[in-house]
Amino acid sequence: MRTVVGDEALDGAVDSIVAAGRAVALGLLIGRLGSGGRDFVVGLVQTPVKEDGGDAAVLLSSSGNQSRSRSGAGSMALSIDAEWVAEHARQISRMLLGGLGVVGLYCLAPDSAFKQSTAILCQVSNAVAAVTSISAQERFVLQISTSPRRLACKVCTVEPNGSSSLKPCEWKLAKISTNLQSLTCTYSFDASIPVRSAAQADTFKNKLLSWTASEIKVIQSAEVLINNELQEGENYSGDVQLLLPFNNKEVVEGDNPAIVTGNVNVKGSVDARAYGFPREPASMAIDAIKEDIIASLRNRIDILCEEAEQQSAEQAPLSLLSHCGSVRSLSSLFLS
Amino acid sequence: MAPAVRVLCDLAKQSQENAGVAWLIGVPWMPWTIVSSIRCLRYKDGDPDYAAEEGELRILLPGGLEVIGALLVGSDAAKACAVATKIREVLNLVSSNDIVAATRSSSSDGITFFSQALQPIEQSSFSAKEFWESTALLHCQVELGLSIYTSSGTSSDLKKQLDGKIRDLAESFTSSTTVCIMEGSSRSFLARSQANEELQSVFPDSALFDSSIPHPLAVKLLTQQSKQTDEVIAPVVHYTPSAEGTLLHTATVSLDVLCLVSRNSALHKAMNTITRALTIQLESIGKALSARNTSLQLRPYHFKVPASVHPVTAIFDKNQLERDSVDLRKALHSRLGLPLDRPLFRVANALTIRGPQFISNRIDGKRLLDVHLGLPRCGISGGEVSVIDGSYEYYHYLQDRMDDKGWGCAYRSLQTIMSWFRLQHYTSMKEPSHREIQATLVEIGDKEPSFVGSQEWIGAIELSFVLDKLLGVTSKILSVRSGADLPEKCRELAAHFDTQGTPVMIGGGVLAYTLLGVDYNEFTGESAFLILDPHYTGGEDLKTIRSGGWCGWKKAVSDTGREFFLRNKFYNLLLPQRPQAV
Repeated sequence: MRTVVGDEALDGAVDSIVAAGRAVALGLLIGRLGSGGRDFVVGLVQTPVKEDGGDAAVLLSSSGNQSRSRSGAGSMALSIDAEWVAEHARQISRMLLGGLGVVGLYCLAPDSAFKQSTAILCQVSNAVAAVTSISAQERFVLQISTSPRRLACKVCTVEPNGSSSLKPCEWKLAKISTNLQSLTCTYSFDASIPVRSAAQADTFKNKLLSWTASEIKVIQSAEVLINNELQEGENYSGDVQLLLPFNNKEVVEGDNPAIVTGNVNVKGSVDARAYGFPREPASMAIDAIKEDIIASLRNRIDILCEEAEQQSAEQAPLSLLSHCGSVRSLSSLFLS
Repeated sequence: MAPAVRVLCDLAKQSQENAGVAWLIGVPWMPWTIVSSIRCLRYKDGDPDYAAEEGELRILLPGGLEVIGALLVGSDAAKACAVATKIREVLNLVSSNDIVAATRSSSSDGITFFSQALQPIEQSSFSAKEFWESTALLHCQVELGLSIYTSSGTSSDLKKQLDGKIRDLAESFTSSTTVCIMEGSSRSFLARSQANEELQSVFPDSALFDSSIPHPLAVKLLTQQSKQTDEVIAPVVHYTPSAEGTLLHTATVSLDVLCLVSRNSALHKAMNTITRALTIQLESIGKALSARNTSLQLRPYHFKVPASVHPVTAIFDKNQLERDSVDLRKALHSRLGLPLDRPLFRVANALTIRGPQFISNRIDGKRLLDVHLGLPRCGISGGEVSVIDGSYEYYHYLQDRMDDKGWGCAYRSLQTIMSWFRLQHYTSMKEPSHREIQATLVEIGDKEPSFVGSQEWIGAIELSFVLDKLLGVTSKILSVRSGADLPEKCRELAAHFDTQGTPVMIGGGVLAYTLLGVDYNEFTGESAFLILDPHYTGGEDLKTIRSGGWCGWKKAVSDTGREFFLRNKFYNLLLPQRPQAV
């Protein structure tokens, strides 16, 4: 049976959900899916109210009527707008730092309703899994009951024959957020990409995208220094620097020498941060920070490309563009 | 009193008979040890042309090796010292008190060693194994891309820019952001060009190989991204148009160095050896690109030859035909005192370093290689054994689904011989089939067209025609009237195996065999022949082949008095000669 470790601080978050007095509440679990090891949950994010003002999850009586009261539950079942929940999950997932992901859902509902709603919960769980970036398919469902006050954790797995089921997991609380190892990295780049007149595909956007793709490959295979040394041992918090191949060779196709009409210069830095969870090998945290660098880089380049397209629709030739990134903080993601 | 000098190579064999200089090579952490010797090839007015020698020696020798002395033939120790001191100066080596001078007279093989103070010193023995116990081998490869922009019409600008880029690259090898990662057996090590760490004995003990070189340690050259030096700004993209007619030239430079370092060397010193070696290769290739053509594909290759305990390096143009680089290969043979009749420096001979091992190019096939290796001698007391040199593939009846039982033995022997020429890199041609052999004989007019597809026997003469036509190989034919006369030819056959080392085909009025060696006592006349029998019809099973006698020593006269060769039949022996080619 899988063990899911929740951060001690979650207790307070759950208390707030219960105290709000609603019959049904739904949101996302933020944490880390260990690969065969332990799984961690460090935060809860409530699914926002839909655009039309309705809730994402409601209780329906067997006759199909919505019920807002806790009592007289009878044969109630949950009705959840899976698309809305998944879209929220997708956006949250993009904002999370390296090492963290959307690992499941939490759901506050009467016990009886919960029992009737296995199918819909699995459906939502799979929908969330499909749009969030963790490669494993399973997600957790944390059931919050009010009377008695209790947390039960289940994992929704997809069987080989395609059907899903909720299996129970062990739920434990521990001090996680104070035991995280944090890695930071500022990744800088300064590249000059030639635009050859002969090649049709040498558009501004294509050059940027192909540069980004090759830069990503370099990052993924780069060696890593932590605090200026090769990583050894248990403690690996600190500043990460990537070791890149010396004078990386670019593959140039076409004529040599080639006529160039100009250069696309891309220069700047991205900040990345990732967290290593207790008792995990350093390599997982290193992969996480690389992913964070890559995600940040991709986002920046996407935004720059969009702006460029906008500008080129307005005027030609292209001129100086800049865009400032936004600062993310981990604390703001926790339910308050 | 200077300690004894230890010599790892066969100096007598490698020094020239007439007057000349041979550089004695060693390593700084093992004084008074001569690891190898390189002949001086460039002379000016009777003295070595130091400038020319310097350039060639720098490329040839792996990093870490130095000239520690000189061997002069027909001259005195003082001259040897002076010559060695001068080349060390030209090579920018630290001045040393441990120069070894050696002399040899042109009439004898004996070599005398002297210290720098011209005191004679003794020679003691030393083995390659001992050498490698305190020396580690490092390997580093770097691919560099160069991009140069020029405005049209100014080709001299290209040269200037290229020279500038090469200089900048060479400088950046030693910058503070350049680091090396060396992969040890259980962990990796980080090295910087300046370090304040203590000595570490990082280099793992590696087993020696059949080519008697230890596993090389892979070293990666990397650049550390440092946020202190760059200013941190949010990503910015802008487009700069170029002036009309701007050209972009790209060139790639592939560097590949081997370095010898002491096993107790500090990491930063090892890194400095690597970066010095990379700089040397970079400057040499850069000069060639600048002078000739930026699209030259110059590649360094490493070779392990028997004459030297360590590998040597040569840079070849990948696009150049092998026959055009023959002068460079001849020079390499001369420098190492290697015979000029066997290719040792073709690109196909180069060492391929994959993972933690050295592999020299071997061909895997469905046939067995060298089935005679390891066979015990057959008991000719007082006999001397002479066998072939090099590898071959064992061809015999029924292989490749060709049913040639009863008639194909000479064809099979020919295929075995031709495989020898391919495995020794004289040719890359695959062995011809029976049909192709027959077609060749028809083509040169020796046989009628109806010969193709027939099951007719061929003999030593026909084999010599085919070898000549397909490989350009000439052969000697030895004939005897009777099988009883064959043992008399043993002295000649032994000489053939000792000098040519090629497999011999025995044919004539009877079956054909391949002969791989002789065991001969010239006083008693007793002899045995190492026969590889093409009449074997079984599978590629070494045990069966040996126990069944399909490859084995056959005494000319067995212990029961039986004669192996028939006395009433004539025999022709085909002795292929190595082409004079490198």
